[in-house]
Amino acid sequence: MIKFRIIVAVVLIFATAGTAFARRRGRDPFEKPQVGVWFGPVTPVFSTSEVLNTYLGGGLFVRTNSFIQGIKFGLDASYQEFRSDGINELTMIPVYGSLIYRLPVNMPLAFQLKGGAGGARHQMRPDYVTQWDPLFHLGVETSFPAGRIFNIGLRIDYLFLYEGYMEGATENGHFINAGITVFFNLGE
Amino acid sequence: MIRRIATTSFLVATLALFACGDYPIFTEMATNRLRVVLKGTFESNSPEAWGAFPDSDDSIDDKLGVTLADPTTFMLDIAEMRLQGGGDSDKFAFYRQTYTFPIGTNDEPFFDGTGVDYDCDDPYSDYMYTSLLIYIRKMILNNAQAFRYDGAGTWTQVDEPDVIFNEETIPGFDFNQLQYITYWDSLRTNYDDILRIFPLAVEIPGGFVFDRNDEETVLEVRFVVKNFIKQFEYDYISEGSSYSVQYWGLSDWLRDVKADESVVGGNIIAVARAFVPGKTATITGSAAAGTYIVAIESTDTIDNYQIKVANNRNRPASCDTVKPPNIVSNTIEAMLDYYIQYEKYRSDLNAFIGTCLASDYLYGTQWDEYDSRVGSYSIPPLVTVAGALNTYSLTNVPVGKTYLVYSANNPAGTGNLPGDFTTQYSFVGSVTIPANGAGNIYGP
Repeated sequence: MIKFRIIVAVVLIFATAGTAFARRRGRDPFEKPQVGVWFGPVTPVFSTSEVLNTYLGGGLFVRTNSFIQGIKFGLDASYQEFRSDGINELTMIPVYGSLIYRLPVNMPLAFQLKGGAGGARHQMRPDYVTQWDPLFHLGVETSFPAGRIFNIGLRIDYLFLYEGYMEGATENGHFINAGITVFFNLGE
Repeated sequence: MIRRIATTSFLVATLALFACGDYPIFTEMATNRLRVVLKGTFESNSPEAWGAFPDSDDSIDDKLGVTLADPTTFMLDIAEMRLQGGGDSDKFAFYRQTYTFPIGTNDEPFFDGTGVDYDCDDPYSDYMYTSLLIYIRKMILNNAQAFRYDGAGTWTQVDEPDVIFNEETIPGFDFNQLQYITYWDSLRTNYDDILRIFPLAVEIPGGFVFDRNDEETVLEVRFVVKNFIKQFEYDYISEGSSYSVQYWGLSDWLRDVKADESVVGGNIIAVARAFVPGKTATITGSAAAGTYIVAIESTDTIDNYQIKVANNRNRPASCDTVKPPNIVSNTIEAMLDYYIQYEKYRSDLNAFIGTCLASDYLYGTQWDEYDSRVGSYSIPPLVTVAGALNTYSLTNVPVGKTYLVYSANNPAGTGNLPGDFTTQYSFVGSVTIPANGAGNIYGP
């Protein structure tokens, strides 16, 4: 956990300084703050697919420019419910921050790479255990503008729920979130 | 403003990384503390050795005199299991599994009291389950034979019956498809929806409460196969000819099967019980070799496990439905015989309807009474047989309870169970096993 704390502390320092370096950039509407929603299949993968089935999920996100051009800060929160052929069920609410890098491609389509960390609140049945677990995130996203304030896109995210530090743990959680997304460019 | 909010939110979200639970959820879902153990014996431990196979059942009336080779393999295909409490059933074992057990060898785990595992997940903790539902796809015994009636009393042996098991065609007969209770099920308007083994409802005497704090819990499921196998006849008409399939199935000790009845349901007699390894003791004592020893909880009654009234397994004295003729061949004489018998059947059926299906519904009353009478019988949760040294030992007995110990004479021959009117249980004594008595030996 010490490594994670260091990483997060570094991120916090840069994030705090972000507003100081902020500047109004360009006239690209995509660089405005954004808020959006997504909806699509949420799929357990690797060992997690043996105990849970694919279901539907959806979430909200907000994004804003950072102090580095082409990189945004993002906040994602979603609600995901998983069932199984048997008795296992899992309700998961991942909440994570991410750094979003827009590839410098001169095309109408925007391609973004995402990575971040956060936590996920679980409720697992049949044991009825509710707790928060640390979460790491990687993702890609493509979108195109439908006007100056409206964007439509596709996103694929991998969520890694880390439990390996717990006593007796042999498994971690692995999920792929795929979905269509709609988001809006806000502000001036 | 929006940017500040978003930046702050990003920081807060990232801080969630430090959220740390202490319960490995994904490990818990991938592993389990409950073990389901299947046994094909009446006894919970130290069962009797295999005995000789009994003569053909008295229901065989078409192709007589067939002596089948003893069955050598019992095949079992289970789709899933569920636990039932007060509400909906819980799909705690949603795993199809197939088993092939050799018959006649006394060290086969399914038949020697050890049991075989069935994959499962943990059910809900601290919830009272009262029965186990087993969804059985197939039950097959090999060494069946089939005959075609060629008229004038001549039967010709045809190809050995085969069945698809575990995605392969193998010789044998699947008697699972016949698990309706004669007439009580098969004449109901909804009989298409009834099949006594999908699911087979298995009682858990005293109930079962799973505690996930225990390192391991065993749910022992027993249904009587060992020394409970008999030869039956299944007859049918196909392409104008009568066929008789002689096959091995489970004994009709509880619900008698009569001539020309193709269904044999209600004779899969099962029980389930739970114990926690490390929280069990042993009950020992002496009894004549071959004596059945039974232990039940003091809150239970032995009447649930025996048939006290003479002839109490008998079917209704009247209102046994008339049966259509079932022997026909392509010869003109056989066809004429068939239609003469069919006219008699119609006449008899009219009489049956007038007597038994009149407004007082005598038929339904009698068969309901019969089914509730024999259907209340179950096998005791703890059973063993005294060995050659005139001693017995009941193992894996949960601690913290008082038990009543009974004995019963061994019913003669295979295909029979103790607890019949002629082999009633006698009280031996009670045994109190304290909660701290794990690993100890107690006697009545």
